[in-house]
Amino acid sequence: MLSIRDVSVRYGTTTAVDHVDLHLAASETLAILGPSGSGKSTLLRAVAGLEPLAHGSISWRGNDLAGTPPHERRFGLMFQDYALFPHHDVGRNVEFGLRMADVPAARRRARVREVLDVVGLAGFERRPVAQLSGGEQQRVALARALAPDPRLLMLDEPLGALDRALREHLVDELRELLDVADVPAIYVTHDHDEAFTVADRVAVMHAGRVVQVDAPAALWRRPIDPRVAQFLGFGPTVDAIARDGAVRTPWGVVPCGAPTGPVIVVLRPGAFAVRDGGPVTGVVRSHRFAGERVVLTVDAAGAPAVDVAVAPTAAPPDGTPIALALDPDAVLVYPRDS
Amino acid sequence: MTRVGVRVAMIAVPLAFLAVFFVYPVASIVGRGVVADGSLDLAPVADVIADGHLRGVLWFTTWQATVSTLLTLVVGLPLAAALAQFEFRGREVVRSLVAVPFVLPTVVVATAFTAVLGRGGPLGALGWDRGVAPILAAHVFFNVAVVVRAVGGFWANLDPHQVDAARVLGASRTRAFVSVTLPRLAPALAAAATIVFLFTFTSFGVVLLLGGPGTSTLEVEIYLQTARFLDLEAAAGLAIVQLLAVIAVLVVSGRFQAERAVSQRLVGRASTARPVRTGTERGALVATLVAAVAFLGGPLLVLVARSLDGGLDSYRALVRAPRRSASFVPLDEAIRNSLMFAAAATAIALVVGTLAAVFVARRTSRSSRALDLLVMLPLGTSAVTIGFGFLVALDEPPLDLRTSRWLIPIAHALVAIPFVVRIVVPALRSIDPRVRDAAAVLGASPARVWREVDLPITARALTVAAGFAAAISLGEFGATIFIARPDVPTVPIAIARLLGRPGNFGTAMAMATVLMAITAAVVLLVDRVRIRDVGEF
Amino acid sequence: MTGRRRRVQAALATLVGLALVVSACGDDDDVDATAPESVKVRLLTHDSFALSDGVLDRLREESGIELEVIAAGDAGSVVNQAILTASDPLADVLYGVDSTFLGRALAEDLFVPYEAAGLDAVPTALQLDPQHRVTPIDVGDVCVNYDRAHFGEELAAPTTLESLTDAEYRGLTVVENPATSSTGLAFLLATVAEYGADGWRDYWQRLRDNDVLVADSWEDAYYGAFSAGGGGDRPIVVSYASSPPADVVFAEDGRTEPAIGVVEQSCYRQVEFAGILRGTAEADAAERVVDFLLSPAVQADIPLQMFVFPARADVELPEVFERWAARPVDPYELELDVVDARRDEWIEEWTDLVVR
Repeated sequence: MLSIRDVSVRYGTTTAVDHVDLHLAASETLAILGPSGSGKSTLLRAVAGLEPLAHGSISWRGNDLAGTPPHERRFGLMFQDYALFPHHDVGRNVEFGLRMADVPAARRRARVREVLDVVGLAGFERRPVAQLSGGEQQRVALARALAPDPRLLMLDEPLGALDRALREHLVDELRELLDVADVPAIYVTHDHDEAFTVADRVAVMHAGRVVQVDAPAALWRRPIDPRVAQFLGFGPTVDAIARDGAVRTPWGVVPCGAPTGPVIVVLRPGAFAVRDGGPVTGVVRSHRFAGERVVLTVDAAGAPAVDVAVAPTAAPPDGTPIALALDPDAVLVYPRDS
Repeated sequence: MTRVGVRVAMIAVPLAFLAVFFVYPVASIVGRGVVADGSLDLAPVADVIADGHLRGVLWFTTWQATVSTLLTLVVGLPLAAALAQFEFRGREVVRSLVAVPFVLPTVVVATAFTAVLGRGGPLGALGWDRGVAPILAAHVFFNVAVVVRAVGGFWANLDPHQVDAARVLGASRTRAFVSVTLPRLAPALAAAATIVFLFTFTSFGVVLLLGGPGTSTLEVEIYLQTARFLDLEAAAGLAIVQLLAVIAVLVVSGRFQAERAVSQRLVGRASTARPVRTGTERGALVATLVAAVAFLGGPLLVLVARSLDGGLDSYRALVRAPRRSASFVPLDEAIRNSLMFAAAATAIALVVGTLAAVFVARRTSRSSRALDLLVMLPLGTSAVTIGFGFLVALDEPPLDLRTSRWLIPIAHALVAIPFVVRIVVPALRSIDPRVRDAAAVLGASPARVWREVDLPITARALTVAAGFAAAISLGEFGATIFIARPDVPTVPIAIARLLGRPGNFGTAMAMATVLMAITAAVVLLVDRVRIRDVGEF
Repeated sequence: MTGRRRRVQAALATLVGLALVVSACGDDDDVDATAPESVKVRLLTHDSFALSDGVLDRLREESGIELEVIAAGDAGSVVNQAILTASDPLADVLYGVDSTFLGRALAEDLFVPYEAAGLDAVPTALQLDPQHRVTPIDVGDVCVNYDRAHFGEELAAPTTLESLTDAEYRGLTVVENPATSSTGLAFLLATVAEYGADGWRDYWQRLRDNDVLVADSWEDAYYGAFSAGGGGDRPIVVSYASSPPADVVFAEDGRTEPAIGVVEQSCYRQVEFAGILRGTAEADAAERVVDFLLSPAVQADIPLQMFVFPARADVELPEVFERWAARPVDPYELELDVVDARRDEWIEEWTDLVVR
């Protein structure tokens, strides 16, 4: 459906989007994941037609969109911070795109009621937007983007400003909505949990470039480089040397397929487990509750501190010596460029 | 039309208007003074600089304008704050009344000030009957509306939560004002200050009538050289000096405004104004209102009182002159003429000013700054220069407008356009650009974005601007007096005619009272025009 | 919501309506209203020009001339505007150039000669241009006026220019600035006529020492400073010989006697002229307009409209005028060319002497 080919966007001398290629299939949801400043919002704005391309092309069903101004693309964009019209009430905000498309008033009203119902804001039509809570504003923004039946839906950090509980709740709702709407979508976020929950595929951006595109499971299994791994929350990361099919880490020697030479070792979350008599020994420095688990931070002798999750009932007090085992599958080894 | 085409067409309107009705006439009349045999001779400018007396005039013009501007800010800000922040009964009425002094003809205000400050008046003991003090007082009296309405209008739409945030972070009320509110108001403040400065820098009637013959401004000297002595060289020298000074002020102020302008969330008026909560607030509000009413209302009340000296006789004389004559202007005719000119001038000023503002608000380019400057220049240019410039420039068909009545609203619009631009630009700049993007993505064409987003969000500013334009036209006398014009007497002209004869004082004051009432009514009406959905904005 | 919307629409409609009214009556060419053979003549004049209702109608009925009155400020401003537009005149006829500015207008060759019908009824003393490039229309005198209530047994009213410098009149007089006021200019010329081209400075020095107040306009002096005018406290002002009848005519309290008196030995004579502007396309009609201004009907209308005397000697004056207007026997006058040559110089000197 949507093809982004070799697209670059520049602001003056800085390149915000750097030769990006992405393709989106019908009713697919693609997440663009990256830290702030990585160019993901700019890419969305370019797709929407709000930023001119310095290079490359964007096409829809094979038609180049270069000559199509934003208001003729029929793409929905849900803005970070929502950009609701401050001078309109909820109903007028949601029906805006329908008015632009000259939909008759009666049908507009019906559609507004319908989408407000979908986002769980039935009856909010006459509310001024300034009186809405953050979550309500987010829903209005989503409803506004959905109402005109866009050919493509783009969401820019839609849950960014919300509290965690609301975010976790809404992200599931969003997933369902996107499934029901059966519309291709691009979902920009810096939160990998969100990306994994919502998306069929995830594109990771860094410094204006797309560094990896994969299904969530594949991405999790094998981040393409240490930076992506770190961005997904992997760690700690250490430098090491690979030799004879094994790599020597501070926590012991782990077999690996890497050729002899300097490597970077990244540990996946949950790489360690408590095991009496395990090869890695250390002392519990601190512990924090994480719901059903307690995460211990353990200072291992001569190695960076590591986290270990245990059942609350099994949590030893701080200062207790402890022995750990390392899961070899949780050790990611990348060649280190000199 | 292509997008570029639309943009060009939009900018062409204000450019053409200013070129034809400002640049060309002023260049023509100034050119007569400094162009000899096709070559430029700037000796008259050097003469101005060399003349000790004129240097003194330049100095006096500058410092009295500076002091007048500062005083106007000091007097106007508390009132702007009160009107922007608090909800109280009669707020809209006070807002409208503040505009009244702004439109009174100078001669009427001078009369009122003489009555109050003159040797027999209630404040006669101050010894301020003539000289700098009454000039400054009258300048503040005239211009406080500029600060209250332009700054107050912007203030009312600022998000009050930022002040709350500062208070929570440990800022005192004063500190929060200085460190949070003031910086956000800065562009609007600078705009208002610029306008007040230009007004007082080119002050004519006030200086002539209240200063006494010892005080003179550049404007007065230009008037004398042009309209009295017909010494076009000397007049051109003075006009160029005035123009250069004004340009310098505008460049500095423009740079300041551009630097300080930030996109900020504007919120509806309903959520910013609130009732007073504490005794301190009530005290401050009451004190501000009482002081404002005394200062602004005092001279106005004197006028009304003088009009009632002979009971209602003066008002009867207004509608039924003892002997009908062509010099007697029937009240209804004067009002009709005034309202027609006001409507036409407001329409011209809104169209030209808003198009210019759209261009200026895109503050990135040098050309937008140049247009901004050009738009403001008429305010800082002598009315005599413009009036006589019309005479020598607009004499060829199809623009032989020298004696057309259209020149009157056009002259009014020249004065009103800077107001429109100054009021609308901050509002346009404060629109979150992503709101425009959102509209575009939802299918609004650029023109539609303007209509659906910019227009309603700036509607509040536009109505303020329209009120100003109408008020300027209703009271404007200075610019029109120097235009040869067909006999279409407006209310200010009728007042001047009444005052031009012995024995009509009461009737003239009655006419002035009527003008005050009309102004208040028009401004109230314009304030009430709200575009749907923007009611609380 | 709908109620408010309707109100807003009504308000907007009103504004739009007003704008339409302006455009509908915006153009000056309402010629259709008159007979097809009518001619339009433009009369450039000062802001004080006034005639009774119906007088202009008569001109239209009798000669088919539609007179368009163009007001252009005060007398000095009118002449200067005419000079600036001499190559392409603003109007066909100029009315309102007075003897203080006539020299400049004649030097600039603004007018074409025309001997108006009825000129024989005008005293030759008023016919200052022997070539008849301008026609005298009215004559007025600028005189010192005083508040009658202030003078009597204890202090007599002043009688001459000289008396204004007496100690007993100290701080009582307000005059106009000759740079900004034509009344003030006439008064300055009166002092030049009385004390000579050298002695007038000394007189003004003494007047200044006697605490004279200078106002910038007649309005400001009369209403602002004169005790019988409005809000002032000075009982002596420079005004007109016709101020007393005006005081009666416009009195709002119904008084039948003026509250002000005239110092008859202080008056400077100003004659106002009309002339046909060189370059007019309507020369014939312009001549008719000058004839009209000198016609008995207009001449008789002048006193109570503009508060000056008609130029014609054969016109009966209104009773209030006959009774109360001062008629100075031998007012001050200066030669046109002397005034024209030295006027600006005198104003500058006066400014240096009195107000700087």
